[in-house]
Amino acid sequence: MEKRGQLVFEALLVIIASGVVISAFVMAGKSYGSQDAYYRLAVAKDLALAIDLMYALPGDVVFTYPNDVSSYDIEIKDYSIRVYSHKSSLDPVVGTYSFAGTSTDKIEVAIRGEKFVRLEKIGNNIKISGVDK
Amino acid sequence: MKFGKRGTASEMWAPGKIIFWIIFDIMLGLTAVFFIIIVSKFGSGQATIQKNVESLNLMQRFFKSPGCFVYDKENLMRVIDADKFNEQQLNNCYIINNNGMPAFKLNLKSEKAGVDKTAKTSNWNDNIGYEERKAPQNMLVYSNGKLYNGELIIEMQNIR
Repeated sequence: MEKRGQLVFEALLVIIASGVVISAFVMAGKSYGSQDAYYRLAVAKDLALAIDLMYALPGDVVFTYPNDVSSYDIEIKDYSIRVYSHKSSLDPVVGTYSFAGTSTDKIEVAIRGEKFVRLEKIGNNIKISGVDK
Repeated sequence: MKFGKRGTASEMWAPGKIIFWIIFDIMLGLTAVFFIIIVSKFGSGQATIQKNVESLNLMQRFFKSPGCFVYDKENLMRVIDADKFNEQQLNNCYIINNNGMPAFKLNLKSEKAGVDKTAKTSNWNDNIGYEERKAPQNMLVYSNGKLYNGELIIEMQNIR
């Protein structure tokens, strides 16, 4: 009985491993095929460029990123922006892009499912938040 | 699947099967890499930042930000404070987490002020030359309480 159990366990292991691999490929394929992967990378790059430019500005400024990002979660930390699906936390396709920070400011924020991103520079610090309008 | 087949736990991890799983993992990894390469080759250009816009964008802070070198005691534009211009200050206003980011080497010169200083970002590679050298930017240089004409020369690596 123990021997048969081992074989069933092995088969289950193979099925689960195959399921994980196949679903990861399917999710990635869908994401690339629908251009969604490029859109989230473009969002990450846009936000990185906006942050880079805001650090260069001598005064205060407020900018609302006008593209709808409600389908995504956006994480900003360690001078890097990650954009991934709001529906699945195990999204294999993440749009990632880096920006250059400063020693006087450290941006760490997570925006989950909100429509727009608001970037606000006051003095040498940038504050980022999600807004719905 | 032959459930009637006799086997033991040690058979499950028998040497032959371990070799199978190693080869399987390698093949899976190669397939994933192949998939990513194909997808990125045929991918849309919508996420591409054209030419060297990002590098130009990044270097703006060296001209304009009081957090970098700009003299901020008075309301003046494009004035570099010679006292602020050093490598430590540069790497305080340009912090990066990966070496693929654009690298900069800056040279501030003003003959009348007697200033000739160079500063490099932390990811500048001395073993290779610059990829692009910008035309000298005319700047005012604040030194010892006075303003002088000067210029800022910027060299770049890892342009993107």
